[in-house]
Amino acid sequence: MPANDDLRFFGTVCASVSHELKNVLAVMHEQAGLLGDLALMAERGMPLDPCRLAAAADCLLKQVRRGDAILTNISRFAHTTDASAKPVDLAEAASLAVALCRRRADMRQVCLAAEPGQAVCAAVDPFLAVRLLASCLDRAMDAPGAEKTIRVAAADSPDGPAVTLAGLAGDAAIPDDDPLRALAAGLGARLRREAASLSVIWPRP
Amino acid sequence: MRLLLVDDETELVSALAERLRLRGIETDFATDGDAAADKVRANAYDLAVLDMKMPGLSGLDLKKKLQRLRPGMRFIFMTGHGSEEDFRAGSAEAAGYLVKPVRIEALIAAVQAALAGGQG
Repeated sequence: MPANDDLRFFGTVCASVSHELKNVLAVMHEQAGLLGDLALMAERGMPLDPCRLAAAADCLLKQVRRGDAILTNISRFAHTTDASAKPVDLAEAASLAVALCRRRADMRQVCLAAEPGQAVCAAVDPFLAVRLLASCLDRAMDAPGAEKTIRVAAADSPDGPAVTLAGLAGDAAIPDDDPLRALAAGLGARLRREAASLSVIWPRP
Repeated sequence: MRLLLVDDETELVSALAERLRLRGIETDFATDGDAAADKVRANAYDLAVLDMKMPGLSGLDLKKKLQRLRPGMRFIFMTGHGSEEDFRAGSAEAAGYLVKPVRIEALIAAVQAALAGGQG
């Protein structure tokens, strides 16, 4: 049931993002409450520490930036459904997948690192490309190497444009009937599992 | 009364701890399960307020661990979700259950109720 799987992925991402935003609001709530408490104490004669006020203001600004980044990513994700096929910058798609998976990585105590690289394009469904890359990240996070860091990079390989996830434990093969392979095949891509890495490759026509 | 707050959002838990201290409640905080366990080994807390969803140990698992270290300690859960599943688990396993953002008055009322003899 591919349609349901797509919807489930959308739901998973929305749930994760809403949790992140709730955390941002909760931090802002406490910092604003603390500023209110300090103002009340000052009214009662307790000296105000300017450094404490500046720290609370800094924290609030940091949380606004954090919330803005989360909303920017969910907006980028929502717009992946605008067209069913177009040239997609795989480095951009990979960095979006990393951003969307960040909370799930934190919960598993795994670090995700999107490595900068040049734009590498493939003509694919943008939504499914992000879904495939996020699914690969989920798989990688289930079996990280000892460093517990998954490094993600897009590059043009001899076989075609590719996104490689490095830092996995071992080189356990992905079975032929694994749904991840079917998802990749539906996008015209294939998976390559090698020592400590998993690559998604879009073979050249 | 001595409280321990545990949440992986450092800037949330540090501000909440400071607000409780300004109200005369002795409060420490930790941002992960291991740090929380270290603090419980070293200090006689009456109650811990735990986030239900944290990296590594969940709030429910951390509660069990801390309870083994200090039997008789009371617990309140905080959650960002307010989902039915969290509510059931939180209500069954602790003396209180609060949805973030938490009103400080509601937290203090929950702490007082828990220490007055609620379960968990």
